[in-house]
Amino acid sequence: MSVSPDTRSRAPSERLWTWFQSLTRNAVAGQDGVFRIQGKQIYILPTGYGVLFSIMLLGMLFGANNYGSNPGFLFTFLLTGLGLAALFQTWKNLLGLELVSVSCQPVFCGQNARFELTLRNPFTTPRAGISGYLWRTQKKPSPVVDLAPMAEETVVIEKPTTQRGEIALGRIALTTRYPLGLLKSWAYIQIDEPCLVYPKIASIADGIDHANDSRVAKISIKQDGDDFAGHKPYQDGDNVMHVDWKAVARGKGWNLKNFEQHQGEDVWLRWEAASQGSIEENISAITCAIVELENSGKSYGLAIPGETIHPGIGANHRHRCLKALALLRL
Amino acid sequence: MPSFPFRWRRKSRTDHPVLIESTPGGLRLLFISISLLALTALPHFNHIRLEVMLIFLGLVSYRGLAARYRWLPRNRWIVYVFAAIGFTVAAWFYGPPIGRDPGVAFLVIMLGLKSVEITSRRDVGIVVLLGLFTVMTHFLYADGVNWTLPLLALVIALFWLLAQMEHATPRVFMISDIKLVGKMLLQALPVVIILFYLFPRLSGSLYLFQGTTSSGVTGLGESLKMGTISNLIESEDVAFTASFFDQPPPPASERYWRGNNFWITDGREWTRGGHGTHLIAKDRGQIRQNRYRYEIELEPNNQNWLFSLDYPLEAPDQAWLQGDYHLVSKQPVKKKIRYQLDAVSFTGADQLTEQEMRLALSLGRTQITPRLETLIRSFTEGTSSSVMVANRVLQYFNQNNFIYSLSPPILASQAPVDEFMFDSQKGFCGHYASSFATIMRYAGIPARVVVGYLGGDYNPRSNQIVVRQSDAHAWTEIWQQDRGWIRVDPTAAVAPERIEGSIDISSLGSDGRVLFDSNNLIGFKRLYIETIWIKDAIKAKWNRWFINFDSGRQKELLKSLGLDKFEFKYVFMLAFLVAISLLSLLSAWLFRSEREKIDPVSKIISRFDNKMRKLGVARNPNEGPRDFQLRASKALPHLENQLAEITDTLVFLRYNPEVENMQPGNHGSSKDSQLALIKSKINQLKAKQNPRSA
Repeated sequence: MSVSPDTRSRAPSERLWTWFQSLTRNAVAGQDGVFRIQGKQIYILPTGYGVLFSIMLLGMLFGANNYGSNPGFLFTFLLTGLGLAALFQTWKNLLGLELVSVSCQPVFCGQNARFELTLRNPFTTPRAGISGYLWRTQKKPSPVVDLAPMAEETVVIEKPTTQRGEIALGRIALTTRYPLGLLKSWAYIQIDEPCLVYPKIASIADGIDHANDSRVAKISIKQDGDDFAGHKPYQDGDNVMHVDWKAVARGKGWNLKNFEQHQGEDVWLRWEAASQGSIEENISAITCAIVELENSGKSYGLAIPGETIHPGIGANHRHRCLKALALLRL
Repeated sequence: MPSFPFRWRRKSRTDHPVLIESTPGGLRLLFISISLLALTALPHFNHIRLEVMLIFLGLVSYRGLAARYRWLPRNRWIVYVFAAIGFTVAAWFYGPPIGRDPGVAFLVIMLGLKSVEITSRRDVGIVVLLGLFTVMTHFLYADGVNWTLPLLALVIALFWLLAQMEHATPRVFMISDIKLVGKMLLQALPVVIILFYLFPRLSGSLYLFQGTTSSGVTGLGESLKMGTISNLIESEDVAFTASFFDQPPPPASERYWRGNNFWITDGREWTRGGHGTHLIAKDRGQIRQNRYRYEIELEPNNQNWLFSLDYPLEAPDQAWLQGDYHLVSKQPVKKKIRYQLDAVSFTGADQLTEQEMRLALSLGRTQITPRLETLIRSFTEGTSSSVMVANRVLQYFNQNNFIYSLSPPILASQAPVDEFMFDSQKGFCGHYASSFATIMRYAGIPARVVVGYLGGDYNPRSNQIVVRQSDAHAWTEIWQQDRGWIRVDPTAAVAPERIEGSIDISSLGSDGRVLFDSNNLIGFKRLYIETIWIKDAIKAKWNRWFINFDSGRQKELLKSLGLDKFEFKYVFMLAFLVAISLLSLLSAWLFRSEREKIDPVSKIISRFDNKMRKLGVARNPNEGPRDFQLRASKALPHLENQLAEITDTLVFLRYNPEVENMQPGNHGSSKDSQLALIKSKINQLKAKQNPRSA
């Protein structure tokens, strides 16, 4: 039930939502860091299908009364009873369910952050049809999972990213319509577990007009030199980053700019060399360069304000560099 | 290649939702749902026209085949064409869908059309609703109850289908879903019972639809004609059921159920005509002896007669009590009705008005032949007592060769009484009663013919008497100045068994006589009768508390519960609360074992983790037991041995498949004792080293 301090700066509707949020309960984590859903934290409402079902019950009641049919009454009340039992079952389906851990692989800004929520069923009976969604923002819950007795399953909730840095999943709801789909129950969980968002990767489309190649060239101050060594024809499988886009634009066909590289020579990506555009544009450009260099298998180092990473290569190195860029504060 | 900002747009107008049969497990789900649908409608085969049923089956099979061969045209117009054909056929045979049969016909067509329309799982849900509604419509027909068990199974299957659709992959939870639906049925039970009895019932149908149509059951005739044979006598249909409260019914010889009194005769036919204008003696309510309180449940007879044990004290709400003690219903009895009555066996000395006296002595156009006149003179000779005269007539019946017969010869002459008395001497109650009354009137004794029922099958287990059409009877009443009306049953003089006990009409040949004294039965026959009694008693209870439960019964129930003083809505709210609490209690009981069933090993492991956290070493969620043991041993070196032992045991209990089969003595100890041991060891873990062992 975290109410942000900057409530006043928000729009009135936003404040209303915050107030509403403060009224509703969240499932809280126990000492062991596991969220266990308790009975009073579960909310329940009929679904559209449930409303349709009750309208049908009214119709049945009408019919049974008109024809004075006691079996008809009994049947109508049986369905009513089943509906009420479903109320209990749908509530119980979430009861005691455990959210064991949340993990998220870093993503580039603009991609969806995929939070993987590991749920555990600590009971000897199955829990079925459970999914999750982002509070307020996600209309359609993620695909459902079924939890066999004593089993763990992963529910994926995606959250769009708009800026580099760290993004928290925020308030989510675990929800279920099982067993009859007449009702949906849900429980809120506030998840502060962050996901790292790499800077926006300058896309190919962005790169065209700014002459992507030259930028890489500018940023990466050649130590001993990737020398431009003329063109060679494009073939399937070649790195599109190496296409001479300007030449393509001029109608000269698809050609690769051929750099001659000396083995073992390092590329340094320096902040100073990239200070042409805005800060974010520059970060994006460097990010693009890192991805490109990693793909082409070259060793590269990063020098940005506050952090210098010596040349290297590989997934860990790439992550270190991208993380430094993601968290860069100027 | 150049790209465009709207490149990632996902939806386009040509997108269709994925067909259900193309999803994993979807084809099976589809087949199951359309088969269940077909089954929900099938019991209607003798309610709706074959053409409609064939169209329905055609539509369902079309969808099945389309799924089987992965060919379902996505054009909407196909459904429109089907709908046009289906509804036209239904309208052709039934007209607009108003009322039960047309409604059902259209519903069945809709069910078929909707099944053609199934594309997504969502559609299956809609179709299940329609199917449930179709199941309900079976109970609007009288024979629907016979299908109860199959329909219940069908409902379970439909709910199972709903549950299946909520799964990530159907089929995984097949059995557990069935079990769950079963448990939910149990949970629903208290709600069902309480709603059934306490949900406000309206008496009568709501706007728009007509209620049950009257069934054309014929009761006793409006007149009694000598020489015509009534079919009623052979009918085993139930006329009414009388339930007695608190005390047993009167003896068999006193069970005369009055239907109507016939005052007017033309020599052959007796009809009612009596207007009963005189007032009933006021003091009859004070009569206490031989007073019976009972309830009659009358089957529809399309007449205005209500039957009562002689003599009713007051009329029920829906009837008037006539001056001659017969009840007249305000409306023809077109459906089963119930009423309660008080009966006494003695009326007090009623006085006849002049008009009544005239009526009770009138013979109309009756021909009295000379030989009949001579006979009547011989009855009246030397006595002025009407009872004496009556006895002489009865004696005459008894001592001459009169025969009780259900198939007497037809009396064709102009003087049927004469022909009966001297020539045929063969007849049933009607002959004896009308002849007797005619003789009485000619002798100057006021008399009338009473028609109704006599006897009935008494079931001591339910304290009920079931009166059948075959119990129809006619008798007479004569009037005496100081005693009022006196019942005289001339048939008794000929066939006393007709009065004193139940006769098994089916074993009674057209002329035969069978005595059936249920009190003297022994052995198996006694057991057989007893079984029938108990069976009937159960059936009577079932009828009373289920089949015929209505707003009237509901009022009685509330009264007996002492709740009739409160407003109904409060009663209902209270009842609903009770129902919900019962549901919760039942649920708690049904799922009582689940909490306990949390794996005991998991419990111990989390106990261990908690303890270690208190000791300052918290296990990471992704840390295996061995890794944790190593790390913990480094942090708490003094516990190294204990930690190793605990971890060994926990790993053994958790991962060794033989653990479940371990019996005491097998490995030295059972699983439970190992758990207890490890629990105590975990409790003994201490943060600091014991100073003594240091």
